[in-house]
Amino acid sequence: MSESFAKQHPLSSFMKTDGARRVVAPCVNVLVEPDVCHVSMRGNPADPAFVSALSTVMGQPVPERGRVTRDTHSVYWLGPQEFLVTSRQFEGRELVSALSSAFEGVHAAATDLSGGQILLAVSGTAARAFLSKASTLDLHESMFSVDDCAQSTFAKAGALYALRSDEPVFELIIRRSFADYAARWMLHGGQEFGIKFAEQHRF
Amino acid sequence: MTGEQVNRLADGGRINRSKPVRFTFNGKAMTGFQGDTLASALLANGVDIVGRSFKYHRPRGIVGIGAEEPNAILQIGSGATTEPNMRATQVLLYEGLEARTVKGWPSVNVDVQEALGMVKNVLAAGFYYKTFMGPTRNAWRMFEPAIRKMSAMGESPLEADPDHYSHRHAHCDVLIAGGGPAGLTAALLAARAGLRVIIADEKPAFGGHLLATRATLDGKPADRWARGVYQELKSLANVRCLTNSTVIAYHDHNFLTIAEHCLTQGESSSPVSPRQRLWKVRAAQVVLAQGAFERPLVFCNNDRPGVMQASAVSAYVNQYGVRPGKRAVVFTNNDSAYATALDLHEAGVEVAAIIDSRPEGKCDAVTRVKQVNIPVRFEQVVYDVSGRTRVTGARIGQLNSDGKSLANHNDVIDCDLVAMSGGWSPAVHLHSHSGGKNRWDHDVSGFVPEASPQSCVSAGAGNGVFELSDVLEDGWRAGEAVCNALGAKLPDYTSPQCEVGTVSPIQALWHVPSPYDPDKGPKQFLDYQNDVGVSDVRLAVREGFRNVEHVKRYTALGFGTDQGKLGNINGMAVLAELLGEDIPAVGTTTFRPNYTPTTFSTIAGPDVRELFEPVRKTALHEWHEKAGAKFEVVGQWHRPWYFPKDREDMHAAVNRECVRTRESLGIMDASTLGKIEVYGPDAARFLDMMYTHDIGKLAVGRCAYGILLGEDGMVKDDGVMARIGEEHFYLTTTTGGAAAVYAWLEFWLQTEFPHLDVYMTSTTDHNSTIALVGPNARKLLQQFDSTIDFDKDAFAFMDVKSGQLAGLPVQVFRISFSGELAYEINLDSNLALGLWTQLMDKGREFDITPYGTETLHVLRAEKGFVIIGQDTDGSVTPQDLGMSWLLSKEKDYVGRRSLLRPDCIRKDRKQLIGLLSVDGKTVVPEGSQIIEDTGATVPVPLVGHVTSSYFSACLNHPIALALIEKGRQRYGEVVYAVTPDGERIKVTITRSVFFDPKGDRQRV
Repeated sequence: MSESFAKQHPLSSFMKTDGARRVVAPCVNVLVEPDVCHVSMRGNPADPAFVSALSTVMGQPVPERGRVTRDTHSVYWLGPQEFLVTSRQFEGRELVSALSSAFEGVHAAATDLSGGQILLAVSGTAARAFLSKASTLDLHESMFSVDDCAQSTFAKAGALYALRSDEPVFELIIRRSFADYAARWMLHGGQEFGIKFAEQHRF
Repeated sequence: MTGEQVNRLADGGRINRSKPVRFTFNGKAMTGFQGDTLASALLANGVDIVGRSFKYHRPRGIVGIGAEEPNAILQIGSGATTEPNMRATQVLLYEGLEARTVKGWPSVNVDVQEALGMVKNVLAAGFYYKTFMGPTRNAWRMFEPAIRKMSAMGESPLEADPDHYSHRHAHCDVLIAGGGPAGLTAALLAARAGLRVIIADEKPAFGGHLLATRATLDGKPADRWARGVYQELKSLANVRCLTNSTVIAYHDHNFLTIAEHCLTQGESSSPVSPRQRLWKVRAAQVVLAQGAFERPLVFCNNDRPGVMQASAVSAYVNQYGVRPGKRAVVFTNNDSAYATALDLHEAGVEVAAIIDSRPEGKCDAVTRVKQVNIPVRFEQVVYDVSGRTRVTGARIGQLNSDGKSLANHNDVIDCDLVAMSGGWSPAVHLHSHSGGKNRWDHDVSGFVPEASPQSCVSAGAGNGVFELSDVLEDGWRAGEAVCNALGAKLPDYTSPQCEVGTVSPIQALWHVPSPYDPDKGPKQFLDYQNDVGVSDVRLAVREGFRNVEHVKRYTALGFGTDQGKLGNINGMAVLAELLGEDIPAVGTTTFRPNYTPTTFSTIAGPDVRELFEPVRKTALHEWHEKAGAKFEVVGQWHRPWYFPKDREDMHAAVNRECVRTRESLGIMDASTLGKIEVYGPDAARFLDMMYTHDIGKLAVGRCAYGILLGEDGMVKDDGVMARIGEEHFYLTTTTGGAAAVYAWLEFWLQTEFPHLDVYMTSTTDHNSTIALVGPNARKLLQQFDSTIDFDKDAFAFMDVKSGQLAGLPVQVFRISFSGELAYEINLDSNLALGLWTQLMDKGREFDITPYGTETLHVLRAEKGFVIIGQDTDGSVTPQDLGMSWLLSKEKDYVGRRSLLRPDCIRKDRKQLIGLLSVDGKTVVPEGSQIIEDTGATVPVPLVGHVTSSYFSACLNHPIALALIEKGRQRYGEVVYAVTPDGERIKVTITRSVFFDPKGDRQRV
């Protein structure tokens, strides 16, 4: 599908202005990852038809409570019958259409949310301390392991947290309309650690 | 340097004598040392008077050493970072510190208002109530400025705060409040057991009492042990040590808050370090080890400079190398002050006598002072002191055997320092915040914590345990308790050895008998900060007050920055004595957070200024900004309000936007509408239960307007519902109602209709919505390449179609909130700007006019379309709005039964109608009340109110919507809209649809 216009990431303007500030030796790094599609998936993991439809399309199992499975895609557990898929392989609409076909006759639903949320990777030596300013979650390594995920707030915006790797690299998924607020909050809140924003370049 | 510091001892103290620190006090240059507090430096410089008392303007000196200090309440710094009400005992000295007293005119040393003290009966307890609440209450206006000035409590900075303040959430197995001997012991145990530990202490260094004592642990100075423990704790990854950090509150669910001072007052503002940080801690277990406050003894003129807590005297001598006086009398009812006598003696200060109210007992304390020939007098008291700006002597009396009167009172001992100890009050504040009760302990002569209802143990002096060996053991017990509670294996640990001796019990002495008239004699102060004395409590009791909370409010006992840390227990005991009751029967007042005054900035933290409230932006926000839009806040969204051109005012801009839209073409960003996708075999059944109209009948590809009722039958929200597939619906909500509607639907689905197979997903953020409105809307769309046929027969009013438009995937709804031919185009927000700019570009031919919420409001009001939340207020039924046609008779839905309540079917309910100003010019203010008769007598019956009101440029006259009793039966009647300033505007009641009543324009 040819799209006549470049996609407009919600932080594109922020990244050109405040997000472009140079920072010496930052202890928090925020990577904006634009080329990711987001798809909401509803279905009952106890329903074999849903599980089989899903593994046909996704090639990976649904995650356990509070976990993420990562293979071709990342599948996040959001609730007992609610999951989020992020993927670099597909456009959201393509994934939705593949899932919707597979869900024929199954009580399940796939919805494209790619334009509705952003994915940020937060890393750095002070990443945990920084996130603990804005989140009530206990992100200590003994409590929040690699591929754990949880929905909470980032300051006053809703956010999904996941630990991608134990360097640590945290993933934050935030609604589009709150993206600018969250980025500005990070800019201020990260000041005491030194915070640097970067954009993942498109391949 | 020490030449100026007249009271600095030649050696000793935990100060760095090689690092002099210059500061000013009321403009006078002084010098202290690194490690001093402002209080210790002031004492070293021989400053006696640090303030004037609240009511009587009596000269006051430093009494304490910490949070309890009632008198040395100073203004620190200047300009934007000045802080009022700082306790000099808690302010670390820094180079260039400026301290000012806040009371005293013309100066703190000469205060003419002290003359007031001579007429103190005028200002007795209850003065304010009696003068300003009865028939003379108007006097307040006259007295207020003078009273405020007299009792000034410092100034807030007028400049913006240059600092930033941080918040941090933290989780731990054990939070330990207090880093004294008990807290450190408990922390060591928990830390070595591998638990996640946070230990906080309000001082810059851990050790608490150990820093101020000459006691030894394992034969070494106690402070060295504390330092060793601190270093071990600090080295452990599972321990967080917070100094300069006060645990200020203990909330439910073991949630506690800690105020950390990251920068001392002297450190300049920094982009890196916050000034203060508020820790929000969720702890599995809590150990409260905050220590105890030494109580003053209540005798005549016990507020004179030079009368101090004995423990504070010890701390100034031992910790700061300061001599608080030259010749001391130690006055006590317990053993602890004997150590002070020894400390003074050791430091070369003459101790004239120890006055002990108890009979002679056998204890190590007495033996030790006798060894160094300090005279001790038993069964005697200091009943008064002489001197005004500084103690000059102590008047000594012999107690009668009843302990309540004096046998003789002629003895005077010359002294300039009275070190007093009335026993110790455990700091049960946090325990009380946690919901814990306190028990009166006769042996301790104080309230001690009972078992806490939360996962918490108290330890050490705060638990009523005062001897060092016992405190260490109590800390060990607390550490053991939390380890056991968390299933952690107890580590190897041996308590350090310290001296254990024999102790004589304390003897209660709540106020010292005097030979004077108890009401007219010199004041015996209970609460220094509020100038409350025994005579005030006596007065309160005489006037009938019995309850301790009432007495507190009548006398002001326990108010102020110290919150009664020194005075409360004495005050309650005096009250009990006067009432002839036990102290436990009288009880305490309530201990409320915060433990020490906390600046609002710390509580607000980072959520200030532009970050106070999230700003939600649509994908087109920057386009709007560049186009010069004025914004309106709707929920958290910032929506374009109107787009002024050149120098248009709002009125001109809105008129232009309305007219151009109705005449040609308008475009609006409607992305903030809530959007919910509903899926599943039972989707139609579910929505039928929630919305009032018949959803099952809606054909695929069609839209319908729908309303949502609360269980009470009142209109809750509205929106458009579209059937995308047999088992797939899409619905919109109001901008402000989006989250609440989604939650409401989920609530019903999960609690009442769990048998229905339905899934919902919000796409509010994913979909941007562009409304293309006006007679030329179709023409513009037809200029684009599209897979959608926009022909009027192919794409009818209330149809929904998906396809490609200008190469972009879109979903188009032919719906209208303006009464014009209109299309709402949904697409991926990442692509929205691309489509919007193309529409603007090609729309130039039609003079495409972007418009905002104000024009949206005018256009819909011209059509009589309601806005839920503006034209409704939660008390309006569908029938009131004339929407009975939306109520299905063939099914049940939430709220249906409530519509049959007598109140919902009464005939005189308010109904939505239109209003036209009779003069054709006046725009009636929204919210105006409607009356029928301008001659009616008060109270005038109010028959309705105006909900929406605008000037309609298209109709060239003002229009309004209103809710009026029996409105629909009154078309043509003239009534009056009353504005807030009393103006009466003549208006005619009309139908609510002003424009194109048949709706032809939207169907073209």
